[in-house]
Amino acid sequence: MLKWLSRLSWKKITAVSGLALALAVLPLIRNAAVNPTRTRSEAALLPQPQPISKEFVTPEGPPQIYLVDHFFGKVGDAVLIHGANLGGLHPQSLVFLNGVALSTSDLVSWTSDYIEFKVPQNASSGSVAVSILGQPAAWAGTFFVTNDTTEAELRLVGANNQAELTAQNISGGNQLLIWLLVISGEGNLIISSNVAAPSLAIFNLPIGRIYQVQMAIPAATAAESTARPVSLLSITKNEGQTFGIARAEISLPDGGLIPVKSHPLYVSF
Amino acid sequence: MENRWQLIGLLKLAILTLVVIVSGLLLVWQNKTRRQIVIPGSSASILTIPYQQTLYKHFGNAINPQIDLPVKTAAGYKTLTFLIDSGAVVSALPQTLAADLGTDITRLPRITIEGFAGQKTFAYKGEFVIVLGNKEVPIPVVFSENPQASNILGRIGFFDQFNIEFDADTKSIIITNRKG
Repeated sequence: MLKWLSRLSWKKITAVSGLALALAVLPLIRNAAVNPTRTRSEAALLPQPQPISKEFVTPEGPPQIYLVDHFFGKVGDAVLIHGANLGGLHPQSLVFLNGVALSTSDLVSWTSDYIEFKVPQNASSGSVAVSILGQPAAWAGTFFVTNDTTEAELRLVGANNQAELTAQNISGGNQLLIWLLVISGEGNLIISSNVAAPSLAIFNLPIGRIYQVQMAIPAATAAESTARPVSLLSITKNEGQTFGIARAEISLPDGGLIPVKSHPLYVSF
Repeated sequence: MENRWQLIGLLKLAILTLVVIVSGLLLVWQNKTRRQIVIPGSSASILTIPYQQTLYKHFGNAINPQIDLPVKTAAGYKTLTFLIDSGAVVSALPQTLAADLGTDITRLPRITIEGFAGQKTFAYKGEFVIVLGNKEVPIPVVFSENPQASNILGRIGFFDQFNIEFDADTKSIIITNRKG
């Protein structure tokens, strides 16, 4: 055997050794490849108990409400009012849902920048407003109290940076008003529709850029939505961008609104 | 001169033997780090997981307390990788997994959860079932709306039902049943 080995060329010895080592190291390389270098802790977004903030920050101006997030919810669901000059929990400050003041037991936290509340029992859809030391402010949108009978639903369905806004059970609706909020990523959204001509307004809020889309809904499209989801808008986003539905209202010819919910609210694909 | 071919043969044999030993050791080590030992029994360890190292951009290699566990889904069991996190009050999963687990999150209570940076995210309170030590264990969970959320095993339902030991000597995480 020694004789055979001594006759074996160094090239062959090197090749065989290299091949054996490469085969043994292959799973290690694979493991390293599928475990990317992390730039943040995995422990982000830890669920934490949230005591109601009792710190009051004296408002530097009139209160403002930028956004009510989410714009719908069932009884007991958490809702965030994002704004400015909201002060804090105070006997002379109130939060109203459809004109009814929320009790302290429905408030989860209250800071100068946001108020978190739970949708109270017997709540009804309507405006969300605050009164901070007697100074009022209201959100431009409508908050919908949903339950098992709420059938109208908007969905963002997409892949490869292309999303469709679909609607289901919006029979009778003739106008759509929607806010698309870009919460991360650069660049503009491109919004179009195959069913009608949307009008677009873009404005910036401290929480992000809002694309407000208003569009007439053809009667046939609204009627078809009872049988299957219908596409209302096509939205193209940029790589790495996340956006969502921050406000949605579907109007009836008499000016009333169809209570609507949405899932998922934010998409990143 | 007579012994030269013998010396060369011996040298080549030694090199090949060394290569075989190194390759074997590499394979054994990889096998050991990958394996999770399941020993059913009430008092013994029910799961031992060798430490996994993760390369962090700013800190270099650090222990990553990850564990692969079978989870009950609508279509049988599916293995998910979790981060064991004693800093988390409750376990968390991204909401994109809810449908796989047969959960309709629109029917679950919506809450907010908060990260260490104070960033609030919405989540839905539910429950899922893991398989640990050949037993199905229901665990309270929140399904996070954050699409980048990790799979986390937190305190409620996990740390209070099992003993979790980080053993630096054996470089492993050992999960055992509670003694009481």
